[in-house]
Amino acid sequence: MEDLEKKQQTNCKNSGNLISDETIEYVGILAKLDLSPEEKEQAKKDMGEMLDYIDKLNELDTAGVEPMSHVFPVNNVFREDVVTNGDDRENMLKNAPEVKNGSYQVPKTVEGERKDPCL
Amino acid sequence: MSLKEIRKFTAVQLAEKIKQKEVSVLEALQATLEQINQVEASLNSYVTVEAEGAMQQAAEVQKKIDSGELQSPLAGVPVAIKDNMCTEGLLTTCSSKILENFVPTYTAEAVLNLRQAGAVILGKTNMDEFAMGSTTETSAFGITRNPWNLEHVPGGSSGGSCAAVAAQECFYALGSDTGGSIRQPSSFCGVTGLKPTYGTVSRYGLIAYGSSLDQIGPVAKDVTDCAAILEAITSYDKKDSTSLNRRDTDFTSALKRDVTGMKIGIPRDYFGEGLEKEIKEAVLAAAKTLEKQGAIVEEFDLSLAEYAIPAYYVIACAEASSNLARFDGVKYGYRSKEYEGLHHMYKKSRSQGFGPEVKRRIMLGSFVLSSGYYDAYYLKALRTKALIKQAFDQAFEVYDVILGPAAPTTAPVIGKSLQDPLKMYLGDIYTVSVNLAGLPGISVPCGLDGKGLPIGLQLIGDCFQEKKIIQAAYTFEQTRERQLSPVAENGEAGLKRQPREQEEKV
Repeated sequence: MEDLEKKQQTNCKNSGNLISDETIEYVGILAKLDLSPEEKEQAKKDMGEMLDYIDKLNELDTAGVEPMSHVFPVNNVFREDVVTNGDDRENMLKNAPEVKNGSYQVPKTVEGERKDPCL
Repeated sequence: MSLKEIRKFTAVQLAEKIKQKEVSVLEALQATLEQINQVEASLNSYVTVEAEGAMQQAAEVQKKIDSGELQSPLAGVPVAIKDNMCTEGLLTTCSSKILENFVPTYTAEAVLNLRQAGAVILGKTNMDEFAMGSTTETSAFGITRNPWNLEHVPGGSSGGSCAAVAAQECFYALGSDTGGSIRQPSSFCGVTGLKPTYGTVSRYGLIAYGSSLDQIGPVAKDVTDCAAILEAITSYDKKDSTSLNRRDTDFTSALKRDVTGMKIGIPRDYFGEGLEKEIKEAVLAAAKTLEKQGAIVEEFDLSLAEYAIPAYYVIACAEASSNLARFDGVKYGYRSKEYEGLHHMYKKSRSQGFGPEVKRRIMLGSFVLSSGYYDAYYLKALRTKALIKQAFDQAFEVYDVILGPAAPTTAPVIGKSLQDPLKMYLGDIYTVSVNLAGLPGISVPCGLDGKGLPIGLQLIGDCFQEKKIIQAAYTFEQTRERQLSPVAENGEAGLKRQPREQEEKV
């Protein structure tokens, strides 16, 4: 575990330099964002600067410290799967950009004539 | 009683006047609407003002007060709600283009609680887009101006809520605080804002930014109002799995002018480089005041303060990238007009619907969660969070309350902050660690700087110790006069001040 952390710490030095065009492309796919060339350049710069700054955390020895996701010892909260809210379909559909036959309408996703360029 | 006189009341004072039949609920509402008519065009505190709906509510609430059904200490008082809390039938935008026409089908639990307490909801306040920002300049619906000086920002992200309270465009407001978004704008606008212990107020219906950090809290004219509002909005809610079932929620019982023997710690690390001299002096003077009132004040080393911001931005952005995945142009919100296929539609809608700051944070969040970087960034930040919590735990073994500034500067001039995002993030230094550790914190006005801009004193308590910070804040407040913003003091005339010239002379 300690070895792994040390390795990561070395990996993260000057990580701003790590932000390549490929990384921005990849993160754009993860984030489902279609950035313009200018936005990509800006994102490279911004993310690089932020990561350089975040690398400050590597000054801290966190070996043996458990990651804390919740400040209180609250575990999973379970309840019976009972529907308590009423049918609000009509109102909910009012917010949808496109609706067809009481359902949300999305672009054709299978057997489409046009190929989705993002797939 | 004139509408101007009515506007001067705090929320609790106004409710009492309504109860005594000296003021009607409708008059209270008219008082705020009159001020909105006079100053809103210049300030832009609101995204939506719902005058007609508020009139109806006012009539209903008046009936219930008259019949004795409603006896809450806030009954009949007009309130503004930050635009990231869902309100049934009322536009809720998060100040984002992607939600520009979203009308929720349900109401956030905290807002429902207020309605049950007889609040009259008069509108939704402007904010940084999805609460991401410290100036309310990232809103898709225009910037909000600071009622103390229109050339300056109100802070953020609850800038609209704080400006509206400071300008008497409402009697109190709800804000939300993920990294300081209630306390910092409260400090910039000279109002009182409280972020409760994580889990105290239900997040049901609050459009999530960083779910493990987000808390709804009151923005008000004074500490008494804050305590009363917090009491009204606090509830255990099964619809929020992080909601806590608290029993010690009689926050108004802490409104006592007494800090005898209270141990107050001042973290030396909060008074280092970057803190404006006038703020340092004002905050230390406030500590002296509390000492004179009987508190035991000591300096100590909190440690780790400098690691809170990097840890915060990793965690908040990671959670944001996940939370904001729901905005895809299918079920609600904006959908791009041109696209080829489903995935392209998602991407186009999101890219056109989100503003630059939101995209910046989603990108960073997606990166730190991606395989290969998850351990190095995300888990590292969660480990840092654990250490920060430990440091606070140790401090609270000794001290009842931690005292410091709410922000290192007073409100910056409009247009200066977004040029350098990292620098803007650094302004969160005194507030973010409180969110990471889940603690309650309050910002109370403690003076003005040379430019006439408000300075905020921050008091931080241990988890579940809201009463201690309320008592300390109340005691401090009792030692001074409440100062009103020029817009509150003089309405339209208050807008005409041109302080920029004065500043240049300084």
